[in-house]
Amino acid sequence: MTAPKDKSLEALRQILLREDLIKLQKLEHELLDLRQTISDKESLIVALEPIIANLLERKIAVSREEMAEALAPIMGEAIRLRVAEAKEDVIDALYPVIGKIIRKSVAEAMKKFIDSVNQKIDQTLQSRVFRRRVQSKLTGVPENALVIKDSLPFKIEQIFLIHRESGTLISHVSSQDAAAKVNEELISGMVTAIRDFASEAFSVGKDHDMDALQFDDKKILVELGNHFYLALVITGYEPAGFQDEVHRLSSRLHHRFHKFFRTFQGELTKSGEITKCITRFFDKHHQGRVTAEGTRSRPYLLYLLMALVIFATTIFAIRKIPPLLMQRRLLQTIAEQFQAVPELRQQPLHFRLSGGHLIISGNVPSTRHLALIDSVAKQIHGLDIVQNRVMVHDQAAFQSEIIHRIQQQLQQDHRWQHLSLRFIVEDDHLVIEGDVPDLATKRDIGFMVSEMPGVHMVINNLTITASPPLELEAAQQQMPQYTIYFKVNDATIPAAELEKIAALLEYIKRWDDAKLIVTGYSDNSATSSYNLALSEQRAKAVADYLIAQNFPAHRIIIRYFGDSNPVAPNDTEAGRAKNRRVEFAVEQERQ
Amino acid sequence: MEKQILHRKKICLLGEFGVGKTSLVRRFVYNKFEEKYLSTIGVHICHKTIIIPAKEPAAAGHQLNLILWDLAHIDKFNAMIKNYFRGANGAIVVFDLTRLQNAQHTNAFLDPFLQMNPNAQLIIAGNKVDLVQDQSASLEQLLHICKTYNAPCKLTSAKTGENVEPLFSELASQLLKVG
Repeated sequence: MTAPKDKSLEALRQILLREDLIKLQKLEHELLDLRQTISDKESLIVALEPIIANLLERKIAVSREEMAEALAPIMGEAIRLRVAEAKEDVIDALYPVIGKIIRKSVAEAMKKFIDSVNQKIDQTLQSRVFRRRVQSKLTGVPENALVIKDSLPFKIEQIFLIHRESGTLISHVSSQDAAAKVNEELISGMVTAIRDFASEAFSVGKDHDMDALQFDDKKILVELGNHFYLALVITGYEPAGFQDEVHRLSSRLHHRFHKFFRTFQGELTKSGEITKCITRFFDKHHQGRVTAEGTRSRPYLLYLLMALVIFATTIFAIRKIPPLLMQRRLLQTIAEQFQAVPELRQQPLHFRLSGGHLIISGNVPSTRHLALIDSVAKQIHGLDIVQNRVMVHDQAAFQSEIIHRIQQQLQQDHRWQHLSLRFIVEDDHLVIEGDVPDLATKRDIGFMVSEMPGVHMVINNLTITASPPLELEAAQQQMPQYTIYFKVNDATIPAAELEKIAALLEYIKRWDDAKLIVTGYSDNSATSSYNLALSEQRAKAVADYLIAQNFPAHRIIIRYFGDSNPVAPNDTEAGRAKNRRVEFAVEQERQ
Repeated sequence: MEKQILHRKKICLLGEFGVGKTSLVRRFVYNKFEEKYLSTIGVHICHKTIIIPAKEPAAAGHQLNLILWDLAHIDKFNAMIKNYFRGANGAIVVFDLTRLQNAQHTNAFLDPFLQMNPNAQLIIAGNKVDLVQDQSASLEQLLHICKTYNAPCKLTSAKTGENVEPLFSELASQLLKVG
């Protein structure tokens, strides 16, 4: 009976717990999955990553400093441990990140530097900047790159000339300090070996060669020739165009010594000459950037100055040489004209042109020759002024001749007849002494004497005699005796009255500075306006006559008053005759 | 004092690995012997100036600066080393007297050398003579090589310095007679 009972109970249990059993199985499955998830780290990370990331983001957003404070010791310790355990791994992990940061910082620093260089370029107007700009346009190299290159230090320390095939050193030039440190034969051999090595290793089947070797701040530049190569040890950055200069040096050496290089077997017979050539190049460049710059940059200012000098010389030549040739031709013609005169043919005469003047100098035996020279000179076409400086051999006769001619001239001019003058000939000049009334006389006499043939220089010692002071009152008292009387209705000076004017002129000439007042009057026969005009005509007639007699016009003052101021009653003919007059008065010239 | 004429001559040291090329050079140039072999890019260069004694009438008054190119061992795969042969005025071919059986490979480096420099002067150095018991047998073998290449030879020891100086002097004299 027990077994059927158990079966019934089991069936009942199945009925009652069926749902629970299903739930239990389901839970067991979920628990198994969970265990698997926890045991698999990758799955757990995938599962937790979004949750933790969200959580951290939220926490950092809410309290950033708190998080940093909390994490700092843990993170710091973790990093220290990681670095200590796996340094290389850390470096490898950080390298790309740090590299980027460094590159960015360097790029920013360089950008600032280049901006500064650009700013300097914009601010500076120098020939070098202009040249650099042109160079930049021509080469396509940015201008700032050229500025940077020019600004960097540069120095040649050593130059080796090495036989290309054997690597044997043919010539070596270096600064004294560098010379003490190097084993030049060793370097030559090693550079050659390295060149050979590099060529063999990297240029298989190609015609390439090694251009440079760099170590720290030193560089060995290689310039290949046909039989040799130049190795230049430099520090810094070679300026633009330097390679071209090295190439030119190489070409020069090849041109001069190619036979020696071609047959070189180790004999250093030409080494000294080659070293001299290289030393010149070295001396130009080894002082550093400034010297290198100096050789590289052409002295444009000097070229410009030279061009200006050449231009000015050419202009001068174009403008001056033809006139000089013309002068020379003219002098030749003049000399021929003098040679044409038989008496002057043997005379030592010299001709010179100065400012359009012909100056004749020399010695002749007599004043007759002198006069002959004068007459020939006057016939020369195209010359207005001739200075005859020819001397006569017989000085005493010559001097007396000159003085005689001067005195003749003085006698012929009425202005100078009364003057008492002395003439002294001293060496090559003539001194004039004596008294003259005024400056004009002094000047005119001096000019006349200087024009005399044979007179080269005049010392005009003429003294201007001072005029006596004008005694105005006395003079006025004298004036009435010179009054000119006219016919009825006439402004012509009667011939009988002219003597009075001559006497007046003689009287008044003692005062150089006095003014002569000429006043015209009439009688009252006509109308007042007619009389006024008539009196004006009379005054002017007298003034004109005075001027005609060389009385200075500026010293004459004309006045006229018609029938006013009669000196006698107009009711008689005798009275009217006295009123038809021109009176004179003197007046001190105003200072 | 008579003016001396300076010459610079490129000399290559040729030979199998370990025959004592570098040691010979160091003994000659620095008067030193070191067991250590200097490893370079395949060549080690040094130089020494020899003043030819007056008793050599052809070379009296001449100074010879020997630029010694100590080349690493060359085999048929190492074509790079052959580039260093260019322009050589002479060569010292070094053999190890204790391993003369290797001398059969001499053609491998000497032929290309002579092809590049047909006028170069050769001298054979039988090195490590201090280690050889029966010198006569070694000498016989060496003379055979000398005859093949028509070159004089010297038995040398870089270790003791024996015959090292005469080896280079002999070559120098030959170079000046030719050059």
